[in-house]
Amino acid sequence: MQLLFQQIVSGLAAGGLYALMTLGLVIIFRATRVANFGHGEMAMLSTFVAYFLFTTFHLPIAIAVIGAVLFAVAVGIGLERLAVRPLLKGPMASVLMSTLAIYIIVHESAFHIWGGDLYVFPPFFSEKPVQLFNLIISQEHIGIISVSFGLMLVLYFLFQHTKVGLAMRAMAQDRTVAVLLGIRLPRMYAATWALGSGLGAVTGILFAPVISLYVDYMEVFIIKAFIVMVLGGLDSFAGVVIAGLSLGVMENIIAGYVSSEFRDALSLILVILVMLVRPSGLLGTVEIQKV
Amino acid sequence: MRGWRIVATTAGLLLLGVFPFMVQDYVLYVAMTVAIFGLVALGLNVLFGYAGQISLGHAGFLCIGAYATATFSALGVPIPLGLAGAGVITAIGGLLMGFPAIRLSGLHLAIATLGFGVVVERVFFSWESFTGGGAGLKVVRPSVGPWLLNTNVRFYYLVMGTVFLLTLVARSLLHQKIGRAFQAIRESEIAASALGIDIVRTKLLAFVMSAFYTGVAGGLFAHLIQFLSVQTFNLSLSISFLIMVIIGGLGSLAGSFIGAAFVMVLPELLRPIKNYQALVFGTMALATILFVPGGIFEGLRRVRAPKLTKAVRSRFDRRAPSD
Repeated sequence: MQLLFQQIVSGLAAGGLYALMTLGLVIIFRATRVANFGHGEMAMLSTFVAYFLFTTFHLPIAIAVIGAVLFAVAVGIGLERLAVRPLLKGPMASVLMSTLAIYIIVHESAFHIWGGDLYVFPPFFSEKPVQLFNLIISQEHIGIISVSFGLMLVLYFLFQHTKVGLAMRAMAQDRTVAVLLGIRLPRMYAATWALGSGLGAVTGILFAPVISLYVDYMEVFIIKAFIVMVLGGLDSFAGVVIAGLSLGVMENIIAGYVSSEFRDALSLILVILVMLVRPSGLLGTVEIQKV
Repeated sequence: MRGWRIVATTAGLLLLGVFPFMVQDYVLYVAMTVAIFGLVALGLNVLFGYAGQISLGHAGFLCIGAYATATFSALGVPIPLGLAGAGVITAIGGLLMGFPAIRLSGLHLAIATLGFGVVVERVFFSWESFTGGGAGLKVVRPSVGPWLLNTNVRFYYLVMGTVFLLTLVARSLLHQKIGRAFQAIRESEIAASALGIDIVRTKLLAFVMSAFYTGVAGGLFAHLIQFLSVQTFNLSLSISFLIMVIIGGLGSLAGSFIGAAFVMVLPELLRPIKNYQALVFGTMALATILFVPGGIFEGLRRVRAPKLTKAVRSRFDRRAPSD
């Protein structure tokens, strides 16, 4: 029983990261209907920026993180303007290819610069585990869980109680009406990409100390983020949070009781099965096909 | 026109025949890579360009085909049988991938196939007794009867022969009922089923055919590079295949090889600026998508089935409202 609880706590930490990463994707997707396949690689790049700001330039870690997030925001806005917006009017395949090309450009360039080396990212939380009731929990897990839940609350506030959030929700619901109400679409496109990319950078930085920073460290992670996106229903924030946390917990339980070697494969297969039963995801809008 | 085409085809074949004696070994190697990846692009084109089903997991199919052939070759199975066997085994994988595809489309399908590719990569990496895991697996060049295809020049003819044969088969299949059924489900599943096309069967067939082609290509690839390591078959490779298809033209068989040549030869030409190779390649791919979308989708228009209603087509041209 104790083992089960331990697995659930570490699952919640992993799941919190999945949910955060996916929220970045979903924020962009809801507003612009673009699935940004370069999201993970942009997060990887920003994390490298944070790493070098911290180690090479000896900036305090907080400043390094802020610098990296600002970098991500700038890159997000730039990419949206240059590589995504011109294609929005074309077929879906071309914008998809465009974000895949971003993936290749960032990933391969990063590989040429940093190779396959591991970069040890400074931990944010002390390694000493704490005892809670009769559970032994690492501070890292507690830290990740609190930061990710905190950010989710901030996002909830942003979307429910600010004008920008209201505009983003209006855009997701009906773009034509949003324009008629005076919402400036180009500005909102930029805002959603900035928010999504910034969130991606934060997630990348939180994740880096967990498994060390290297060029491929986002490869599996971003795929899981996409899986979570589909599971949650593409455009539902609540669905994504539930799906992210469930995937994290499920994986850790599989790793604990079945096999850690086949953890990724098994969880992906389970997810494909879920998609078969419910293609619209847990809480996604069911699309009715009109002829 | 027809006579001109026969002359051109014959001249092209003759040129391909004497090609090994005109160039360096290294150029020959690159040419074989182009042919093999062109075959993968062709397989993906059948699925994506013709049947309209996207796949981000074709590296997984290539991986299955490559290891299947390597195993057959180690067991002493003759190469034609080995390649066909690899194709069939990969086609079974394609069938498995096709089942989720029956209900999924667009972005969902992209993500499901992406997941499939990763599952294959992970499983093969962990399955050390079969794939050698991280240490990799050595493959030797095959022999056909008494001829040992141990040089690039000899192996070249096997590659080109197989690729040519499979391209002809695809060409003739796609001009028949099944090819038209693929295009019909691409344009509109509802309209297609109203015309009596079995959607489930057609989609599964598209996946099976695509996977078969990719599996055979995987077999040739295994013998070409002679050393398999699971990390080769990653997401970047799957994306490259998709870029080949898009650049070459959706629904254009010859375009598949042009796309493969673009993707494979360009980095070789960029070798002097090695550090920026990927950057330049990715940027060029991006620029192609951004600035010559007409050129890229030219093929799509050419194979487009008789025009359907505007409402049906608008499902494919997802337009954002004007800013």
